[in-house]
Amino acid sequence: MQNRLRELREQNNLTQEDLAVIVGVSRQTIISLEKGKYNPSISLAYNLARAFNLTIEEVFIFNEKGED
Amino acid sequence: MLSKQNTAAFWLTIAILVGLGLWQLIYVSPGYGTGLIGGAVGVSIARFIKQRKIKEMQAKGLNPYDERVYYIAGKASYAAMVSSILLAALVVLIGSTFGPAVMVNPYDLLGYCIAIVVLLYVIFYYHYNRIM
Repeated sequence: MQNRLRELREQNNLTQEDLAVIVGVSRQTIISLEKGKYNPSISLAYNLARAFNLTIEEVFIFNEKGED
Repeated sequence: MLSKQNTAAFWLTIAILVGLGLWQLIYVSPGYGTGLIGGAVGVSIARFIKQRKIKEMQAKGLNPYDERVYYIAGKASYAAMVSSILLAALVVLIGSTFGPAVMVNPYDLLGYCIAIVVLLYVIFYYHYNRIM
């Protein structure tokens, strides 16, 4: 699943650690999410979207092909 | 994972290991006793370092045990289980077919099996943590 986390984080002048604190995860998780190596749970995706005042669909782009 | 019950259980286990180690060291088998005490001290030091890192993360407001950690732990557990079963099956197959019959101490065998499973888990955990 692709996402716009890095772009949105930079737009909001947040560091990876800032975002991690806001959504209650580790910085490593934010790094993995930004690299597209880890797909978040629904609740984490919701919290991330809410951190930017957006909907989940505006942050995460679901690809029907190639999802594990 | 930093609960008081976990901490108490950990130190109780360490105390039992050190007690058994001292008993072995003095009365039964000095080598085995030294191993038990050394293992207990080593695990205590490793835990101390880990707890310090966790407290640093928590002080910053970060969550050291988030969903990704549980996801990786689950994947590592599954991979360790499957690979240890395959390894055991391979050893049984080859040993039963070609190897001589050997007598083993069941306690030693179980100890080696536990060590292999734990080692595989640690290897897979670090592997998945690196690639994810």
